[in-house]
Amino acid sequence: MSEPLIEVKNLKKYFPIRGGILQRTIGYVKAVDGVTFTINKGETLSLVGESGCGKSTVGRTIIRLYDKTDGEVFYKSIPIHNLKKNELRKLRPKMQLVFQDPFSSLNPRLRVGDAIGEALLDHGLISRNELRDKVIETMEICGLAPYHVDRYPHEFSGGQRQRIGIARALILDPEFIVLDEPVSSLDVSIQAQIINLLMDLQQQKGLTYLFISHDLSVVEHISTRVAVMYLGNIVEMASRDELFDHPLHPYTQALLSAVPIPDPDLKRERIILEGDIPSPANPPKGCKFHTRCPLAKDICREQVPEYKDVGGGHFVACHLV
Amino acid sequence: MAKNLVEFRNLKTFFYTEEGVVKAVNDVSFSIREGETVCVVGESGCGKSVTALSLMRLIQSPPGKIVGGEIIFDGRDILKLSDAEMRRIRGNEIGMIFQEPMTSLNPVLTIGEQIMEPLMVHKLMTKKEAWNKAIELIKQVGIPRAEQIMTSYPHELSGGMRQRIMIAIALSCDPKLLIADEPTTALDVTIQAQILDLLRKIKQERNMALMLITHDLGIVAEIADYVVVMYAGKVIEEAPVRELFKNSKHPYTRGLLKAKPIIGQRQERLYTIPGQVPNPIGLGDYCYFSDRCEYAMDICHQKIPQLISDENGHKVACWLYEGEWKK
Amino acid sequence: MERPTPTLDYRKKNKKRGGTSLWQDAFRRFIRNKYAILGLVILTFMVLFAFIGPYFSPHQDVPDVTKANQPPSNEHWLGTDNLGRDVLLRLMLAGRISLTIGIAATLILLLIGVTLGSISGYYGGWLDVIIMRIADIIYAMPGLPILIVMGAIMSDLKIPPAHRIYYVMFILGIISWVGVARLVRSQILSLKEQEFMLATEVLGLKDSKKIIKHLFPNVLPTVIVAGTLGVASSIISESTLSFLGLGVVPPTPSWGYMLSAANNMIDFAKRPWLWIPPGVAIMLTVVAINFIGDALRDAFDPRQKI
Repeated sequence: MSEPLIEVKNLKKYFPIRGGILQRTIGYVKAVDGVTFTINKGETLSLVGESGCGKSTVGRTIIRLYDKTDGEVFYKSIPIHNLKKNELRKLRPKMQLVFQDPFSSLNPRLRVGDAIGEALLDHGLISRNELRDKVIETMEICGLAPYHVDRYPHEFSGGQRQRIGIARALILDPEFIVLDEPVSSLDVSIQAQIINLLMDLQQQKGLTYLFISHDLSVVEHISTRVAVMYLGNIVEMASRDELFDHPLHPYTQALLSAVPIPDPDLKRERIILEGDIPSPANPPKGCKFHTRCPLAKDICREQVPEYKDVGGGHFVACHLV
Repeated sequence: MAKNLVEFRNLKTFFYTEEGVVKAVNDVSFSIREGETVCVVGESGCGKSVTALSLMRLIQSPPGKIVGGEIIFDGRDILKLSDAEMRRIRGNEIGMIFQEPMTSLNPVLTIGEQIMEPLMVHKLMTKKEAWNKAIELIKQVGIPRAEQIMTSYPHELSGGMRQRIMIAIALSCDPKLLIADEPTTALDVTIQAQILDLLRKIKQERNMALMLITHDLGIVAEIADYVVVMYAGKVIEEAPVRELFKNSKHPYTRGLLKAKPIIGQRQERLYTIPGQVPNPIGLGDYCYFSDRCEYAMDICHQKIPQLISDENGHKVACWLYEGEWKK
Repeated sequence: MERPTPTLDYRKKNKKRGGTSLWQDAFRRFIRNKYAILGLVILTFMVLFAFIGPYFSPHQDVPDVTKANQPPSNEHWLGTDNLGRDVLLRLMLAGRISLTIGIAATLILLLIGVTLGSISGYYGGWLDVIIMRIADIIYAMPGLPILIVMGAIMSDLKIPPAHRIYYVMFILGIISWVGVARLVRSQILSLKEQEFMLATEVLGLKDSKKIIKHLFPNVLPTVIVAGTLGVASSIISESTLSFLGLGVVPPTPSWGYMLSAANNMIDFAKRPWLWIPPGVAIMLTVVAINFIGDALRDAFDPRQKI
């Protein structure tokens, strides 16, 4: 087994809810409520879950875009959340993030070439003379034409903007990239192009990915291991094949069965979950999933299930397993 | 065979923008039979939503304009009706739901008021009758505690609940056709499954036709009877659902089916359609897919292929099939 | 996969697409806008008219009651006022005061407003609370009574009329920054939500670069619009003050003060040469500045065609 690049231990991130004229804290949204996992060098760990499950917050907290509430995050054994501001800044190029929305993630008033190259220059990693060549080289790797370099973001389609976002991260020669729903706002034909690009880059440069997505079919394609989140917790984590072939948690099973498959002859046993996702500001007691779980028992309403290894690195948090 | 409820005949809807004319819907013809589910599928900008909005006559003008063709709904040409007649059809004979259930509900009115309004306007019900009917509708779309929901405001409901309410409003006047424009795109998978289930159920109960607009071929396979594939404002292929998935003809449809990763089918590398959707302004007279098509021949770059049909009614607009199939 | 070999052209700066910065692009867009040029021409004319014009006038700005209230003639192109002074000359001298006050007050209000608004929006927290509460208080105070009180204090302290113009600029700036501060703050708050600002953090850019290259160019359009509105409203506020005898005091002329002649029924009905010229001057200046402001806002928007 290869060495861990990122280690996350019992990470928590609560967002205060403010109210009243004095903006006092009146409660917390427990977006991430104690998650533990490691990401090995060169692998793709996927975080899947529905909206509000905290998957994006995990991605942003482990590279310290948000400060943690509790727990630890180590990058190559360096505790990220204990670094001073300038130490963190020096480490930034190594940990990058590609955003979901290719429209709001690019400054509309900055030329594409500048957007891609500015960080390299700002970190003093290149001289001004070499910059333009390096930018164009990176753009070509990401499938952009050299003449795009002097254009503004609004002149590009969603897929091309996503390539710009990838180039902007890639030029810094990172080791670890958080991919925050990078293909979910793209059309199917463009989605496939971007996924292939990401997988090619990973192979060529030995990149490590944290792939955040709600689309299980994409996750199955791209991942080495998969973690399923529900309301701030990981409910199940296993290798890709294990998770998709033998899902243990009722939530994972329901999620898998809910994905529409483009085959009109396929008749599947569908698990349709009742009700809505509870608010993370006021999660249910016991197992957080018990309000929607078709198999819920009394114990599920009272006791938080233990997150345990059921063998072969397959972790699950469910009383019934 | 059931008779046609809607027939689009050579519909052309153009948008006149500063940069030029966008032929959003460019000579589109297809029909929807009574009680049938037709899925219109395509990528963003292919004209699938504009086709539906043209049927509702909800194209904003300017910049948009329906410049040609006919839309026959239940024997009448929608495009020739007066505004007053059209208002009677909208919400009464055709219901519509949208992608974003938050913005399609008025935030300052209670759910009850919004369901009761069309009942009182179109069906001339009294307030009491409308109230009872509204509660019945809310129960039909699978929401418990109907009385409590009646007095709630939209922001108090989740996205899935709001979409159910939108469906209830669309159903309130027993429409013959329900148009659903990407009804589950903004929702999570487990909620999407609930809504699709609901749509299938009510369609069966009411023998209502459903025109579902989506980009997701998975949804199409689950719910459609008949599929229309659009690309850059044109219908490029249409067929019954099984025929389309098992025996797709157009290189674009085939590419779409191959490009989407499918649960349970692990592959090394995804198939990709190279390039991107063409700029809709100033398209010439050639197959709009020819630049991205791996089978493109000389003629593809020179002439627009017409929609031709094989003996089973599978229609495709592609020069590859021109010789084999008769017009 | 075979990739196209890059053409050498793009390895160098592209001549056709011009320089590298937003500023150069903005300049090019600006000078291609005919309204901008018209605005610039008018404004330049008004400035020259006010600051150079008086040197070409054959008259002195001294009363001569024997020539009071004359209609326009060859000698006095715009007639004379009730003290026999040449209206054209006074219009020029008044322009100096009005333009100076309008522009200086705007600069002061922008300086305060943009600084406080940016701090409030960018840092948030208790700083934001304090600044915004102060803004609320200033906003809640009726402007005119404050100006009257300030004017009275100035009279009481026997501030010489020549200096009063500076105080007027300052007061106008102080009481009108609130609107700008709020605009800038809300703009920054919405920008902070944009993912590209979060991206600057991911990239580890220096704070100075975040602000200068990412935040500032996106706030600029708001500031420009606020600024152009500010010049116009400062010129008008000055006229209100002067009319109340609280701003610039006679014999120093200002456009607003000259315009107040229209308040006199006899002057209004019988001597239009007293109030039409300053009215036209204010209108032309304000329109010109608005043209320039609109053009600037468009010029900084890359979505506009070059």
